[in-house]
Amino acid sequence: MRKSFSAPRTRDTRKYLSFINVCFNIMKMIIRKILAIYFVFLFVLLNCSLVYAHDPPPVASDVSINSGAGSISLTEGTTTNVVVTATVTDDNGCEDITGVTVKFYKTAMGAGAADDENNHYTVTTPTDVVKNSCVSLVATYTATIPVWYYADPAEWTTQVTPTDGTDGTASTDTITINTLIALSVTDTIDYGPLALGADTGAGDATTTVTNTGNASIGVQVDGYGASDSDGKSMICTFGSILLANEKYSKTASTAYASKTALTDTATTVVDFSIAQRTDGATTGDIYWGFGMPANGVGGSCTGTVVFTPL
Amino acid sequence: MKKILSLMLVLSLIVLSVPQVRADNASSTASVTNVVPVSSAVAITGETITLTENTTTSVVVTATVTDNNGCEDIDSVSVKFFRTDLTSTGDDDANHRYTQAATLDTGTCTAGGGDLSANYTATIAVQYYADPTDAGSANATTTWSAKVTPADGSGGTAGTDDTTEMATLTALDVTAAIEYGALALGADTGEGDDTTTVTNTGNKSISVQVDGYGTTDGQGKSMNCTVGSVSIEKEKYATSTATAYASKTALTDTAATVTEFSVAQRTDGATTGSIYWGFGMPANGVSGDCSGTVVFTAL
Repeated sequence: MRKSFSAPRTRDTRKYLSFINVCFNIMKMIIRKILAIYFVFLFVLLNCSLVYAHDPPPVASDVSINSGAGSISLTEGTTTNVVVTATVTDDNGCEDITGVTVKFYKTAMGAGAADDENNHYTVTTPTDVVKNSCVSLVATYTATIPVWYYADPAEWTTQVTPTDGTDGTASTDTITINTLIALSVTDTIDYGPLALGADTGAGDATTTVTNTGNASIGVQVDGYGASDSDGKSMICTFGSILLANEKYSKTASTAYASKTALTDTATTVVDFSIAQRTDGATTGDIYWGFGMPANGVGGSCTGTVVFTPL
Repeated sequence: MKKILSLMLVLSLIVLSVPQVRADNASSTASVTNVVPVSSAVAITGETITLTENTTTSVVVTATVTDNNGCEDIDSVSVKFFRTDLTSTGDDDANHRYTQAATLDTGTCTAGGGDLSANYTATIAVQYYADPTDAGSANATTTWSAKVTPADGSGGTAGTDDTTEMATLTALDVTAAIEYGALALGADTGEGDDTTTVTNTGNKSISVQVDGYGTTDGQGKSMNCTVGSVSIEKEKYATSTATAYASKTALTDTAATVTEFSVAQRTDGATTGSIYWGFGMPANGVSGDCSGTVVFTAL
């Protein structure tokens, strides 16, 4: 009973008070309903939050490079596929995994470095990282990374990071990339026609040497006519030519007499080196000259010059 | 066992740590500007060539051929053997120009380029009617020459020719038998002929001399019969066919030139002439088979 009114209770007053009382009760009931709905909503909302807060991120494990090999031998002049395999577990089920990123980098550079063909590669699903299987909570992935021949020789790390929208737990493995000392040369040293007793003078036949490995190189040269150690530079249709008649220089337009004679055993070209590739191909030129004997040879002549990197 | 395993592990690590080294080759090429071969020391065997009647005679020409690209570069060697005044240029003709490929003398060109020279020999089959150039012949002012021209892929240079004389060959050949058949005593062959074909088998135009005998030269007989013999003058000849027996010329015991009769030097086909024979049998004193010999001598 509310006692805020003290005026005499007339009949009209009583009616008014009764109306007020009904309205008050209705409002109280509405407020109770709203509060009930509010608490139900709050309960549901809290419950949802609890479920969301318990969505565990995927976890990578069992990372392996090239099936556990100890090192990688690159392929000169081209890429070598490095294969990384990993297992990814997601407690929400492997279907919840939305992607896997595989980084392969020179350990000293760290995973966060920018991609660089010398020291850092990144591949992702679905193009280069392929899901092999997905059973219950566990999926397996294989990443194929084409690593260039000029990737630094060192210890490298692969880092596998799964995600289901949120980055999961990464796992790593390491391997060594071997040193590759390699070169390729332009196919032919062609001196053209020469008269008996003539030489190429200051003219050059140029060999372009390209570094096709992952280290800076020096170059050794030797030659033979038909088989190694035969002491010849070329075998002709008729007769043969001594090794000393074929000469080289690292400087263009060097007179024939001042060039260095080719030898039967590999000899280092002095002051000649080609850096490891970092951007474009790295090359160097060696300039060749030839002297035809005064007699005893005829027709077409062919030989072989062997270029060995150091 | 542990030591072996340790050693294997160390070796494996050493192998793994050795850098890979990849060399590369370039083929070097050149071509030698050709130098053509040259012949020298050309020689014809024999100072004078004596031919063989009615067949060929081998004339041997030798030469040295030098090629500064090496003797192996010599592709071929051609020998021209020719009457000098008619030159080596022109078609072959058995009377005055021959071409023959020479062959390498075994063992004279060592492979490998160190040997620049090689010896070559050509054997040329010269016909019996090749033009004579010796003294007294129609071509006495000239000689025969041998030119040796080697060749590689670009040709060659002939050295100095060698020369020789071709001897005159005066020779003939005749058909083997003069067969008169059966004749009665006192009969003759009249205008009938028994023909002897004379072939010039030498290298000049020839005249012909004839003489005869029965069994031995100089006996004055034309034939000896089973019984008796026939005197030389009973056998007669003419250069015209169907000449009456009485008008034919009697054979003699010594060689007599057949007048207005010659056989030219062969140039294309064989050259021949015919002599027509007649015979008169004696009236008596002979019987049986008769045989004799007629000698034809070329002039």
